[in-house]
Amino acid sequence: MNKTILFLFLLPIIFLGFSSQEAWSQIPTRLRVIEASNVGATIDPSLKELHGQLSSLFKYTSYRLLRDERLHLRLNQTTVLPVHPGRSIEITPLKFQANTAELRVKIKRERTEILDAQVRLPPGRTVLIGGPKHGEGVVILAFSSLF
Amino acid sequence: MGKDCSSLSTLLDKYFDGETSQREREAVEAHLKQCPACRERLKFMSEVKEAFQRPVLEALEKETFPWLWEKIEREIRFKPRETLWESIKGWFETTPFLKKRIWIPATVVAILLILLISPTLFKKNSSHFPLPVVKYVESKTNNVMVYELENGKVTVIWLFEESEAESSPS
Repeated sequence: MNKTILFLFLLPIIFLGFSSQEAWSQIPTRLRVIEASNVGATIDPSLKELHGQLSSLFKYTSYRLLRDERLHLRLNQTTVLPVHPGRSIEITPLKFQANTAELRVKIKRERTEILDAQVRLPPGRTVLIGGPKHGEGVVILAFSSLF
Repeated sequence: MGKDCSSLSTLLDKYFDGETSQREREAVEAHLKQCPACRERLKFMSEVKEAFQRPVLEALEKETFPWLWEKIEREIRFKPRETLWESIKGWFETTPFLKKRIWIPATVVAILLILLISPTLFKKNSSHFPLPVVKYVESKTNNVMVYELENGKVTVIWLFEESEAESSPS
């Protein structure tokens, strides 16, 4: 009988816990900073999972992981990350609704804003932001949802 | 039984039950002194009453009603007030909702409801017309291109920096 009572008490709590997950506002996100170039033909082993997609999208021969961050973003709080010399990325989660995060991403060169984007990141989705020059190649930022 | 006896019959019953007035009682007692038949009748009534009353009284004496009542009274008087937890526990012990025939179907219904509702609560934007991944994109300094893979799992925002034409996506 006690177990039954406990179960009946816990059931709505668990249910509410799941349904209010979005309200807890911590958005686990993965950001990988990749250098893509045509110098050599090295594929970083840690990019094995992304390599198929990268090679179908770009004509670079070499992909090197510069940075791999697992971020726990908070709603309306801006996280600033230096991505490569002279450039930084600002990520601000604006919304987390229906299991989809809405992020505002700004890339700055020195103090100049060179990109301002607002993206929706549903589960299992990756958003690549590429183009800024880096050494012999370019930098590609890969945002993936971890929720 | 003479004429006086028949007229006193009702009074005799009242006398036996102790319901006569002073004057009626005196009249009955005066009559009883001179009427052996009525005395006999009164005696018989007493015997009948006693015959019925005795076993009842004996049974009552054997019972412990006074003791039982005292005990109940004591319990009522000295029983400490229930705490909130005890009240809740008491409710759970007495409530019909926790009877198997009620809580099992109720739990099953609740689980079914959760299973029915949860896909809409936790669905991962799996509609036929998903919202665009890129809500807006802007660059005041460079050209920007947005495209996505056919499988729809990767979206690309490409920023064309100076002399990027060569290294732009294929």
